[in-house]
Amino acid sequence: MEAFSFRAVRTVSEALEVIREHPPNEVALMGGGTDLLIRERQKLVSFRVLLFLRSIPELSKIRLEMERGLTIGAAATLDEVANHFEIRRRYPMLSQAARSVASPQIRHKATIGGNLCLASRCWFYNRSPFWRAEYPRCRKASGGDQCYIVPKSRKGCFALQSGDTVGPLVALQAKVKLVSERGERLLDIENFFLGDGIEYLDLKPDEILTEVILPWPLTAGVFVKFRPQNNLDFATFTLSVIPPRNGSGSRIVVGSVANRPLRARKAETLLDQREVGVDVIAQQAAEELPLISFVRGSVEFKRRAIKAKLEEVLKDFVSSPSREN
Amino acid sequence: MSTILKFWVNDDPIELLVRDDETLLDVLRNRMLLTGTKRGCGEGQCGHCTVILNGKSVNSCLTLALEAQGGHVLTIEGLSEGERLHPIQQAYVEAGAVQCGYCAPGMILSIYSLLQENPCPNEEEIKEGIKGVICRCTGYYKVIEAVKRVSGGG
Amino acid sequence: MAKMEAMSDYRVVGRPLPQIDARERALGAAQFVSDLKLPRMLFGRILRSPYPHARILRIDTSKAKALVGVKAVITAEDTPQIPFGPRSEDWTILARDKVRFVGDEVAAVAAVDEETAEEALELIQVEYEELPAVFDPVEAMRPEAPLIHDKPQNIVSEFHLTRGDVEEAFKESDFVHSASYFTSQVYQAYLEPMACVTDIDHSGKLTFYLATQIPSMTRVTYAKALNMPLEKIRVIVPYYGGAFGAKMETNLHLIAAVLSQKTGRPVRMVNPRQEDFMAGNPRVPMYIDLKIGVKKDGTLMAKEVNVIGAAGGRAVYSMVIVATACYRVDSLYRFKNLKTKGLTVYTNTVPTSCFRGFGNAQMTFALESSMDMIAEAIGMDPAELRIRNGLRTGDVSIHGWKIGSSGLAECIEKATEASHWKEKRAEKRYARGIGLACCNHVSGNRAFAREFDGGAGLVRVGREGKVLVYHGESDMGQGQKTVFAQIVAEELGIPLDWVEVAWVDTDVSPFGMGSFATRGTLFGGNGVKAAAAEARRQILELAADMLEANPVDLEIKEGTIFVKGAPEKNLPFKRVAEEGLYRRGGAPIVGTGFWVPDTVLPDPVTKYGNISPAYPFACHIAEVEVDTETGQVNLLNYVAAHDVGRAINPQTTEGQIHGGVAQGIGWALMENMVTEKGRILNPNFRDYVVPGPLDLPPIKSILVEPIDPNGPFGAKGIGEPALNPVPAAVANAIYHAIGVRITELPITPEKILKALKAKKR
Repeated sequence: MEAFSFRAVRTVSEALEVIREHPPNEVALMGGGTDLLIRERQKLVSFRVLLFLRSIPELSKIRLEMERGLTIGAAATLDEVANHFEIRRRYPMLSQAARSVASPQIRHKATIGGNLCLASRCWFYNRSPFWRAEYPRCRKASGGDQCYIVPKSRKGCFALQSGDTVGPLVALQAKVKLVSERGERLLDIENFFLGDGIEYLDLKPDEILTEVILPWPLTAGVFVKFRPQNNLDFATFTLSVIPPRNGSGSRIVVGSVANRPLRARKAETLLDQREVGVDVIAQQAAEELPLISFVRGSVEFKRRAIKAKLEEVLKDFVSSPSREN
Repeated sequence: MSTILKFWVNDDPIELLVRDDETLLDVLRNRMLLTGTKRGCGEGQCGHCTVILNGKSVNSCLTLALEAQGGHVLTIEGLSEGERLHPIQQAYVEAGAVQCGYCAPGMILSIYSLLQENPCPNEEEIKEGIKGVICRCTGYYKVIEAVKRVSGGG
Repeated sequence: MAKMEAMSDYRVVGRPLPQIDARERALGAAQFVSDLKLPRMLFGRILRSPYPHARILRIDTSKAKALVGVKAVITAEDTPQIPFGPRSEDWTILARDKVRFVGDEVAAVAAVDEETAEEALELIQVEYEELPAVFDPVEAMRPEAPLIHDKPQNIVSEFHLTRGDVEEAFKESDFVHSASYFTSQVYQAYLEPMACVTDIDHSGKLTFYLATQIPSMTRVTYAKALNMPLEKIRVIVPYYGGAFGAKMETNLHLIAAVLSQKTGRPVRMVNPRQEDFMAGNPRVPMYIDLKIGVKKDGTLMAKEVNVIGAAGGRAVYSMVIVATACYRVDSLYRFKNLKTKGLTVYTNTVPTSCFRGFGNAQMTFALESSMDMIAEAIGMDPAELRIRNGLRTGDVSIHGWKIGSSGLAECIEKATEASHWKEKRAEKRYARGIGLACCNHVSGNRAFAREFDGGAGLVRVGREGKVLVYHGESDMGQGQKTVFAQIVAEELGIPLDWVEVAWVDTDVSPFGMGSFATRGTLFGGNGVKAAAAEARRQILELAADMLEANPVDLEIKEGTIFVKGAPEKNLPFKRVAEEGLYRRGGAPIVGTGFWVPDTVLPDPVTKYGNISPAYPFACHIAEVEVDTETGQVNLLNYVAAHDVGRAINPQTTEGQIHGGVAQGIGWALMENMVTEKGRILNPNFRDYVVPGPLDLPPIKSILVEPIDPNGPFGAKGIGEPALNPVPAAVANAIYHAIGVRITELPITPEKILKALKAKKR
């Protein structure tokens, strides 16, 4: 089997040229490669050309424009995002989320773009070919007609959104910039996730995610990563919460529990209105989310833990009035 | 597809023809016989393959050799000067942090990276800093003590 | 952490010292098995069964053989078809006719590089006929269960033991307690996956470079498996990355050997981590039923035990582990009447085997949880209940085990003091609790060793006074070499850095039983101590002649030999060594020595007989806080008090305690091999989570030294006792905190929440 070739380019237009030179799906984009290389070895993905984006200086830049917002180059590493002075100061929940990923070794290489686009994960999918051969009918792994996580489902894939920075970016109402030879697109990040474990992102084969754009922050939020153990484990869930400002704009985003980041919209409305207690809001959020039972916890357990953690967060907001910039 | 890789490993300029899909770990261990860097899992979970690439600790099993093009790689072999242990290695040995020693190279380089970024870490920061390396023998206690010794903290 | 103090008046023994080879390891210079490279070496990989139970209909290796770079492809046909096994005879080097677990070895490849070997595996075509499979040992005993090895009810072995009359004793008891437990199958997670290098010479002699805890016993098993005379097999033990019990005999070694035989070249074979999860030898999972009768003053009257353990697809040491689970704890307390039954059952799962604690760990979880419940029922302090019943120095247990020294009471005393036990038990803080658990263990096991038990050593004093020590045990990182060097240096009166310990090489080293049953320090230590004493005798004889003195009047201190009372009459040790060489035609001084314990093989029926020369004890206390909303357990503090006889090296001893407690915590709270139809769903470190630095509590370790009459300088062992009490200490602390009792490992947040909910109703 022929191995892939490694192309380190210096500009985005060079990158687009490489894409143009090859048939679709033969070119894979690499930020840190910390997930892509594993999936390549597990034969979940194959490509002829590995297009290295970290060699494009403009793609790693982080730029703050006063009163306008923050632009983060998609190839900035999680370490850079976590430690950037302005991100720590003005978007602390994003800094926190970036810092919570894996280990220093991973964060020194993995990029924000990669984390945002992190391929949906599942215990039955992210395995070696030998192991997967025993689950032949998985929709995602072998184009079959069954899901082993939700056996009763007739269609769709429930592999999980797993990038920890996704929740905060949704809560912060980020946009993503997608560039191709056909032009540029600016998407609200919520619309970037299509709600299926297979047709996962609104990212065309010839597109490159170049920037993550955050509006000027009005309220600092809170990020919580819940995992039974503190070590490298992927989260059971993440919470990204932004309190309301003048009765609107609150966000309660739960990540890593579904094939897309979930917003607890009814709970957000309750939070905006501030008419009921935090325990009611937390309970509403926990109940309205479509959760799946799996190894990391039954639905009941997840609901309980989400409610408990969210209540803690909301109590803090109530006791210290909303932190404004 | 193969490409000529020119980079520095410790104090030596190296030029090698590598396959594009070859990992830095394989180049170090199999081609250069620098076996101090270990393979523990191949998935970036155990940290035993940690090296310092251009000043930052990385899992060499998840790093393509070509990512080091024109750059510098520090392996455990490069930390000591001949027979003289680096202060981190010295503290590591004295604190009793070595048992089977399989994670020692990865752990010591993680500590090196941590202290570059934070010369005086508190206990929590030490734990966060070393969490990328799995140790099964020591419970990490004496590793943490070693870091405290060498950083003058704790 | 304060710098450790020396714990004895000896010069070297009792001093906290880094391992003598710590430098090599910290430099990255130590050559581990998976680092070794020999000229013309090939790389091996194994093709494993994807089915838990299936008939092999056809194997076609032709395409694999044709791949450029492949030098050999083997199946069962290419191996001697001799059934063998470390204890049972149900192993074959490669599967014949049937596969019995996911991961079973079916074929293997040797190629010029790892990638080619992996590619070749994909080209081997195997046709299977799936068979019904069974995954639980209780299910496997049912009449309708498929037979895995043609043994009735899939039972590998049975263990029965009776003492006294339990029925009568239950009647006389004031309180009868019963409970059922389940201890999970967990992975040792040693850092270097299973690995070996095999080499073959022109005469067909095989050299195995093995990560093995039992170099000499391995050789015996492998000679049988390969149908070769013992002299044609040599085992060398390089540095290796941990074992914790797992690295005993394994097919991986034999498969590499056959590949070497077929190709005439060295072969290196290393398990990719996923395969190591799937086809390693994890802990024997057990169902344990306990019934204990006690008087209201705390006197233990009777114990009835039922154990069912899963062996997996073939028996490694599981039946010995189940037997150990059945009766080792009987020598922790003063038991009077016993009725015990243990069953080891085949299942279509990965073969289970030794993991730190060896069955005693599993049973200790059950017993110590039960003792906690009993203490509550009779209104007694749990510490007090242990002290009342604990065996003391001079006692002989119900199975005839002679407790030459027991520091159990002192361990309990010191642990309760250090943890502020009394105050914390009394104060009822919401969701905070403190729990205690004790354990006993052995330092050697005559029943395991069979033909003989003992330790031996060879001490070579070179011309420059440099000493090289040979032993037959195995240093897996626990610091054994260092302890041996300290013992020899102490015995010879020379500085520690004059002593080196050689790699175990069965061509030269004594036959050592190996490192298991926490026997290394005691047996190996006594062996090298005897050898050093003999070398010392020879040195002093020479020195006496050179000094014109009487050997009995001579002493050696810090490398100088001098006449007692007239220290001006002295000679450097090195000078004497050199002179010895000159006078004896170039022969270095070599002392061989051995030590044989006063132990017996237990009676096969009654199981009576003293099996170990010494018994270590311990007491652990855990303090926890439980989040009653999420079920998460936060470990606040941990105290581990250990009776080690004497700590030859307090630093390495403490290191062992730290590691054992960490592993115990992983087992108790975090680690779980999730399986479905015999398949491990989480065969990697991402999804099988071992403790990291943020998961572990502050720990205080206390060393208690009753000085055992049989140990070298009074030392016993530490390895396994360091883990045994942990899960029960944690479970007992959780009970004290929130009043729920979890009897199944691991104790997960979900189980805690379920139990809390049930309690409310």
